[in-house]
Amino acid sequence: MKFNPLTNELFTNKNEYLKRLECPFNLNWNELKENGTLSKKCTICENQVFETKLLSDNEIKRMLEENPKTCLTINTNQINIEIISDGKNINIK
Amino acid sequence: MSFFAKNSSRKDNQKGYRVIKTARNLEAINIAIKEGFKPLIKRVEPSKEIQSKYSLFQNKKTNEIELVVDGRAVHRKNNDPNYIKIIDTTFYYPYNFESPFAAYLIPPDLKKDDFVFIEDLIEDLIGFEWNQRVTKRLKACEARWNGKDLEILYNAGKITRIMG
Repeated sequence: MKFNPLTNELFTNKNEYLKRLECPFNLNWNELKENGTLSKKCTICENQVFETKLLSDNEIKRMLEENPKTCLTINTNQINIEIISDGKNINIK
Repeated sequence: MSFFAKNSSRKDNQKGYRVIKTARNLEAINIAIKEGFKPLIKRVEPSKEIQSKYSLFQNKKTNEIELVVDGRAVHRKNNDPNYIKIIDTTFYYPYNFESPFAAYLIPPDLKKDDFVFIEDLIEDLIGFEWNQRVTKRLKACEARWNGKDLEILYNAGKITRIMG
């Protein structure tokens, strides 16, 4: 997976757009209810939020095809994430 | 002018506070004055703590230039005979603002100690930090009006997890 911290957009390693990670509730991960090892449950909307550190690009693509509103979480330090920028606003000082 | 809140301050307006708009140029500031707002004018000053980075590599087969941010990917490409490094890792300030000053538009009836939500912060505060020295500015934040200035209720905790 690739993640652009300037836009919060998540992509596959082949640069296919997956989704923009935006949540109106803005809770912390430790505020969510425990729900097994690969997800937690939102205490406001009750949606499952899936941990992506053990998921492949294809698994995430399938999840989003089945439900485009699937909630995901990433930690920018996780090993299967590459941080990218779209190159916009480059302004070298 | 900012102080650190003990409790986490939301980046969204979950508490339904009154929204403070920001005028980003002289024309917008003067229009707001005519509409009765009091402009709280601030310098737009890039923080040295806000930075992104990039490297550029060229694919020898296609000649395409590829932009790489993550140090792990830079390392991979450095060891890949199919790529030539064009620009080594370079840090830069990744935002552009149209004017070197901006103003929070204070409604005339705002009372001292009222809590508000600033939807477009002028100050450069860190909203996101990644362990490879890449930071992103906080876009919005709660604040308190002290009668003269807005006290930004900024929680400086490092954010590395994103949900949505």
